[in-house]
Amino acid sequence: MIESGFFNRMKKFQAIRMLGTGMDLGNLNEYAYEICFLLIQNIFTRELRENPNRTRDDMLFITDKIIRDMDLEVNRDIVERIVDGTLWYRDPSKQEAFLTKIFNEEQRKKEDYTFRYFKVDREHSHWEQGGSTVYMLSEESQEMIFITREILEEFGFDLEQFYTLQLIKTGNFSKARDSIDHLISRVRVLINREKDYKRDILRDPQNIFFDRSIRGKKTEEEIKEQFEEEQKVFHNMLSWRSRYDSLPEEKKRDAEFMFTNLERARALHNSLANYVIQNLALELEIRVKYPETFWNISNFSFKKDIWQNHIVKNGLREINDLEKVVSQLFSPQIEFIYPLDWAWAEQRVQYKKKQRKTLDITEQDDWIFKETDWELIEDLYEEIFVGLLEKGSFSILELNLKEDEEKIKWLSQGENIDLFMMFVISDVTLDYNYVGEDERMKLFKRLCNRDSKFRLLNNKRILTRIEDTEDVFRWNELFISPYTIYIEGA
Amino acid sequence: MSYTNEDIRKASELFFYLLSKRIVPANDVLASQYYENNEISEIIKNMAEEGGLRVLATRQNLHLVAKGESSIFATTYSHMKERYTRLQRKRHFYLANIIICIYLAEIDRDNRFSFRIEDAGISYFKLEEIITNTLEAWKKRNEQEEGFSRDFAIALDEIYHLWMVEMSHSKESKDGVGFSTASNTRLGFINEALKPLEQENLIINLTRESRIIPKEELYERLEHLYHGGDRYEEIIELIKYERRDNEDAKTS
Repeated sequence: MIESGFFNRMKKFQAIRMLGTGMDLGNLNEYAYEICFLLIQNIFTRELRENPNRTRDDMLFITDKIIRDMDLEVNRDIVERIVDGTLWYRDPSKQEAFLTKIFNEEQRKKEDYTFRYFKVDREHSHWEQGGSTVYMLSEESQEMIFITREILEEFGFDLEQFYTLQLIKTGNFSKARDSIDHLISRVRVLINREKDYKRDILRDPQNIFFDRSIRGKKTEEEIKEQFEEEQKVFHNMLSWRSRYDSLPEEKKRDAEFMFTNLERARALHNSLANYVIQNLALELEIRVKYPETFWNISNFSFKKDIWQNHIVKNGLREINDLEKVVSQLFSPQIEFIYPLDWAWAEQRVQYKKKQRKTLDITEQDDWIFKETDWELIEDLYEEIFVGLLEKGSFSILELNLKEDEEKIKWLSQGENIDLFMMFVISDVTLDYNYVGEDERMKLFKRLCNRDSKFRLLNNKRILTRIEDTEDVFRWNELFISPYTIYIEGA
Repeated sequence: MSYTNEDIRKASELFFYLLSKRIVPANDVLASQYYENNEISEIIKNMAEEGGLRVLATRQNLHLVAKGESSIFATTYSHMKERYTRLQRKRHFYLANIIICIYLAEIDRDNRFSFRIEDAGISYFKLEEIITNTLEAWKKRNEQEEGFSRDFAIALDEIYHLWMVEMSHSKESKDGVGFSTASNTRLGFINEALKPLEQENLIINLTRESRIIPKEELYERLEHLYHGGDRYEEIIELIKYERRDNEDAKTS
């Protein structure tokens, strides 16, 4: 006899069963399963500690380390095979999800089940700035992590909380700390779900009806009540802090750590409540303002109706027709008209030829390419960013007032001027959390670290304009049109 | 209906703004007038109509797209076409069209619920396989079935030859990350064929990871341009498919 729920339980098995299978790793075959699990666990820990270094390259590095830690021999190809085999099913180049057939007790037949061990962490994958894909655990692989802990996922957030509270009460602080980590990861899962849900209902409001799994069938009242209850438990847990002084010395350190983490968990929980309430409001707004979206169900698709059932099946009368199908996808383009005054604007930049001291090269055996002197750049640019901060703009003409000694500093490295030109050439939005190659962001980040007041500029957009003036910027060989860089809206 | 000067001024402002931005978020100060003010949205629709353009208003964005052949404006796509005017190169353009269609078909969804757009990314290698399969299937049918459309089938021979024989399999790129984008390789040509979509900011082309990820905006366009019943009729009309011919051929 097959119990109901069989299909869903098998899904969890399959994810575990298929881990590390189907790749030929030679001597390492018998370790594949363990290595893959350790990789997943490593990524999980990074996720928990908010470490965004979770790209494929990072995975290669982690896996390499895991194998070495196991005192096994490895080469680059095997490491790649393991990582790709955990990311993708079968041929890695196709980048497909894992696929298996499971008997569905309700349908009385086998049904396809697809899953992945890693999914895309959209928030950290700065694709559009040229960043690599950052991965995070899928719910399937997260379950694998949870299953091997004493608390299973069926325990809701509230139970996890109470468990933690018990540990605190009994003074088991190191264990409570683990449990808080778990609590934090649960909140993060819930926050991510809310974020995805928001994206989904914005894309298609009908998801309001389809995505009901999120918070069960609770009413808004019930949800709010639950948050209040959970807030109380946090309060209760934190109230144990008052006993801190009476603790024996050896426990103090553990307790301190734990309470810091607990504070973080509470803050995260607050933001979860925020997300949920916002989404509830959004749902209501859509229901009231755009009710038509619910009955607007389109019956056609490009894939099925136009491409598969029409073009692929019957061919076209004429090959040119394909163009008519595609062309409507595109926006009009306006021809660029070159403004005459641009032609007059003087924009010659000549760099002072750097006189490299060849002597250094011969003297040093391990010659490394001369790195950018960031200290110097920070010194030079501090003033410009202060200008942006205080006046919202900075004109390159202000640099004309510099003493000769200062000027020499500016001209000492090409990068100093390059950076300014980078601002001129393209707009940029300052982002303190940026990870990538843009040197302007690096500069911004460094300045923020030097003085936190610059953080006020975070998320500001920097633009430039040519100044309408007779003055010129002219230092020896260097000519630059009189530019001002400024903050959008300032 | 009569419009005030102020309406016309505001509408033009938004129209030209759209023209330069192509896609404007719905909550943009200017764009929001399209949603809130009937007079303004009507003027803009008229202006678009006259320019052979179409305005798509989704909940998140306002798009301005060309209306097929009747548009007086160039598009990134028509720029691409210009590069392939020479007779010999024409078939490259046809192949590119097929690739764009296959890509769209692969990412399109009947059921738009609960799928993640970022998971809809397709690997170059997978796309290559589908293109090859599609061309093989057409080629076979072309040899077996008499009714398989004539003009199309003739060009098919050339496209088939171009893809199967003239283009080589992918090569690794010089720095070992991703693949070579040389256009005489299959993957390189896919990259080239999808350039207009990339320039239009509708896809994210992760060549280093050999993957192409559709953006929200592409789904919005697919939804508005191909999923509606009226639009379906329009497109079928455009590609002039006449079923009766085929059926007659079969019954006679």
